[in-house]
Amino acid sequence: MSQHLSERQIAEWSLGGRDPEVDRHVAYCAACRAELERTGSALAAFRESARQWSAREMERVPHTGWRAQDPPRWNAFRALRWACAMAVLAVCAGVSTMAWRSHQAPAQDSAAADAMLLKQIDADVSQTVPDSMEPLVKLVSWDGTGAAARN
Amino acid sequence: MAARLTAGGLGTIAPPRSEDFASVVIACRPKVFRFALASLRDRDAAETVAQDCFVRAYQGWDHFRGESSVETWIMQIAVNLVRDHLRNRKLRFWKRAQQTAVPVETMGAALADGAESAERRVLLQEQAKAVWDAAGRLPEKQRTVFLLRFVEDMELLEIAAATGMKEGTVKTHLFRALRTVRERLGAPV
Repeated sequence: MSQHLSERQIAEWSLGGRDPEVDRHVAYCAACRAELERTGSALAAFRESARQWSAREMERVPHTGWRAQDPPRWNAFRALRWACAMAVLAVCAGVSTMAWRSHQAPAQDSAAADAMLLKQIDADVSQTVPDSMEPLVKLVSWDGTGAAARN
Repeated sequence: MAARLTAGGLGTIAPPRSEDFASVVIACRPKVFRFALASLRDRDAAETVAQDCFVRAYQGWDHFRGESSVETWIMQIAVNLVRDHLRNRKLRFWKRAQQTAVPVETMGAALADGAESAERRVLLQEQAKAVWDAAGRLPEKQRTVFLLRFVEDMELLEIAAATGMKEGTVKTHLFRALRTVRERLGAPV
């Protein structure tokens, strides 16, 4: 191998893959040996820092251990949350319905009043003579008998 | 229970007794918590994932066919939970503010335990920090396989089982992740 190691060869090596050809090259190429050592030490430092960080954070989290009743408790808590949410929804729905009904009642009243007014207007319009001329109508007959009487 | 933790091919396994499952939790919790913490960088979120993971494992024990070890199966659940959490967090951008920086600096003494000099210790801290930075920028799948390989020391086949990928795909993601990490570390050869 005349050239330096490729990225793929370095990656293979970092994943634990060993190739005799790479080993032979590393034995005499100081640059590639340094590169492999640098990558290896960085990954080891990363691994160690992750493990230390995690161990320290785990100490801060209280863990009571596992009990068989843990899942049901967790489910009960979840069910309680759902029940609360449903109760809030039910209250909201009730309030909305009441508000809707109170809004509908005046509307129904005004609709009835409108209907009565329309009926009255209808009656007025359907009259053949105005109210003020009603007495004259009683005196005059329009069907011809009145004319005969005049004659 | 130790055999159940490590052996594969056990076929259908009966629901665990409480004390059996407790031993599973004791054995796997550090690994699950560590993976979740390294992925999410949020202690509370990592603890939530760890709790959910074991609740789901307990409830889904009937579905465990023993095709992989219990540990790998538990990690599969953890990988799915972390993925779900990350996707949910994309919608809750303010959660990003709660991410904790990895305190590499405070780990100096133990990190470079046995290091011959202060200079070497600083170098290791810088290298660890560079890898953390690079890992944080990796796409989700690359980061997952990278953490499972280089923090949890899982074999490629185990990672494939835990992530649902083919072994070749896992290797491809690892190669790409390593390239990015090495670029972040400095100029390659």
